[in-house]
Amino acid sequence: MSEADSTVHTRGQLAAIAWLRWRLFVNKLRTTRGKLELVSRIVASSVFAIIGLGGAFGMGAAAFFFISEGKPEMLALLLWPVFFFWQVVPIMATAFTNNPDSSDLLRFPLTYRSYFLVRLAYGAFDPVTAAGSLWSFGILVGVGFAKPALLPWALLVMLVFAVFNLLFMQMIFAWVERWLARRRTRELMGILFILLMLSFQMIGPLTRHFEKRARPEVQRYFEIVAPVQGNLPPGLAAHAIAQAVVPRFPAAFGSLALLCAFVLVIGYCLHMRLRAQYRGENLSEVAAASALPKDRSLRLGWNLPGFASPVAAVFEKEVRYLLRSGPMLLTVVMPIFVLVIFRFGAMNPGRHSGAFLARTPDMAFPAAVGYTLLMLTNLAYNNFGGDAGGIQFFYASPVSFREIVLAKNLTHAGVLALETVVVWIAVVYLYGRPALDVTIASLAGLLFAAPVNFSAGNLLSICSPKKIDYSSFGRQRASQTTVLISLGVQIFVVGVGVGAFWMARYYGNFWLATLLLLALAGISLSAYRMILNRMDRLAQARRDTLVAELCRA
Amino acid sequence: MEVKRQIGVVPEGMALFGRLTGSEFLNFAGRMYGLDRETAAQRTSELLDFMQLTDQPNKLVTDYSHGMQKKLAMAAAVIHGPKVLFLDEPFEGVDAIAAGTLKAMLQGMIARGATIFLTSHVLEIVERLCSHVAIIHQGRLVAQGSLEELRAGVEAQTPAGSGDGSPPSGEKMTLEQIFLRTVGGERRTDQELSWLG
Repeated sequence: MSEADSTVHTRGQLAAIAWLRWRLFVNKLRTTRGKLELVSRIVASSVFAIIGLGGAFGMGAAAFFFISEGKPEMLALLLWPVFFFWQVVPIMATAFTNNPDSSDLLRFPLTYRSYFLVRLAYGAFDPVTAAGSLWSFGILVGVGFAKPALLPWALLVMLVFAVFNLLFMQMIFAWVERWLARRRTRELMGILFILLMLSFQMIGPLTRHFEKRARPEVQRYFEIVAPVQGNLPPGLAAHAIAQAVVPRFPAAFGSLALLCAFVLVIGYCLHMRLRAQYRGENLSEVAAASALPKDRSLRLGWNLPGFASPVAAVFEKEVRYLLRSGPMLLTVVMPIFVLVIFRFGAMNPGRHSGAFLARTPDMAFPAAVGYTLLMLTNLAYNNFGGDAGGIQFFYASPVSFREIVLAKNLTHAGVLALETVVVWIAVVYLYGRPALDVTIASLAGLLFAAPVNFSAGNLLSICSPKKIDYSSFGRQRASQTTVLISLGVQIFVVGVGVGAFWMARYYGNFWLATLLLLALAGISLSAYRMILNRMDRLAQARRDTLVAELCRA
Repeated sequence: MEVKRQIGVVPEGMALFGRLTGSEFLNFAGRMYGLDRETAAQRTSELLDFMQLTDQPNKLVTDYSHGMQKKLAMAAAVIHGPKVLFLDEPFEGVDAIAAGTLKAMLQGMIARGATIFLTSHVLEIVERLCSHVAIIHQGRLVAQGSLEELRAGVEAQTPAGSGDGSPPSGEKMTLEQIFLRTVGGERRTDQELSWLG
């Protein structure tokens, strides 16, 4: 093929890709969901437009101020937020959804140049890129207004900075795509994402904590960070403009050259990744595993004293599932985390939740136990969600659903028991040892609340199942119906618990609450038993729904 | 329950628990079918060996290839020694080596007196493996019997070599031909795509 033919060919391909994107967009509008997505996209775009234009104005005004006041090095304070916004927001928004769009194109005879261009184009039309570009443009205009002679140089620097951001974002995405291609790394990233989200909760308490520290110590940290940032792209861009203001052009050129070097390095990293994609790398899980020496030893299944072998087998399976599911494990860890947050929050008298527990530390254990139970609804209200196609095995096996559900409930009860112990230790450490009568009353409350939750959970697991995909993150883990009903059950259970504890506090005797909750526990256990005995009939009646929902791709 | 104890099933979705390893899944399946812990562990080990699934003991089922999953599902279906086996498309998406292993196992079971029901769209496999065939068309059973009985039935309706796609006289009709004649399907051989060489 001649070069002219090749150019025409490439142009045709790019036009076809643009057409494809357009048709995908139009065809999406055929469904209600697609139309709703369009509305949400319009809202999001409007928000980004406001952020972009407002930010651009603010950045421009600040840049004007810094240059006019002779503090051009302070531009770094503007360029760092631009950089973080440009890089972090897209990751937060889309890191956990697969976006195979561009790599799907590789089955066609696309040239590497076209592929690279398509990838960059996809990134360039991102709303975050648009907002980031607007902010950069605002800074440029601010600098230009303050010192018109500096405009061409600032334009060049800001252009390189924008290219760096665009390439850097694409490079991150290309690598994120690679990690998301494998289940294990995808799950690991999911856990890191939750930890990141949880760590945001710590910002407030930590800020308050460090506020109390001596200012010189904070100043010392700042003195260490300042020179380091100067050698990174946002700092380099600021330095390149600041040195031109002085004017000290060799230094300005030096900074711009370093910034260009960053662009080249990032561009090369992106090229490496995209080239690997282009050459058809195989990221399947099967290829990833390496052969291990054969293990000839017999591994016996678990034994659960007092229970039939199938119950023990399902119990073992449930525990293994739980241990292998990062998000589920984090759910279990959450109560401890919340206790810590409340404890830190309690340092600040303005924080109501923390302050309540600080005023009434004897209520910390019942509150934590209540929260533990609340977190357990994730597991108990969608019993079969994680089994997916395995539900067919349950139907085919000669084991009653009563036994299967009992085993699942035993697992959840085990988790609840373990977590109650851990929470008790955490409360002792953070709030002081809870009184014996409060501890017993809380356990009586659990004895009442757990069977209520298990009963409702078992019914909803059969009647309103929802498949859980452990390897994807951020999706809803229960059906809308389940969420609503479980909320009602929680309000009832928590209401009863709060009522019992309030009465006990009013009369100054927590044994009253224990008695009341134990009586209620008797009723809830009977109801649990009754519902458990009906599991087989229910499972058979709902067989089609369960299999259709859980076995779908 | 008693019937379930006597049968093994490999449904379309294979009914696997993706977050267990192969060994854990077979152990689990054995115990669900009433085997004691030692027997379940012993048979798990034998089945993994037979199915050549011992290379990566810590790999989760969800990370298995399609063929490996098929072999595992088959292993789980036979761990309790069923007398009747129901298999849905057992050879679909399975490589030649895995298919050989599965066939060997099925033939062994048949030799020991087990009955196997299998569904397949690949009629050559059915022709080679099955003693009796049933043809379902649009959800209805339209023919059943041994291959010879089906052949005789079709030939009785239209004599062989009559020029309607049947084999020339002296040659036996294949199951595919029997199938096409039974359901009244027709292969289009007269049309060509103009740009294909």
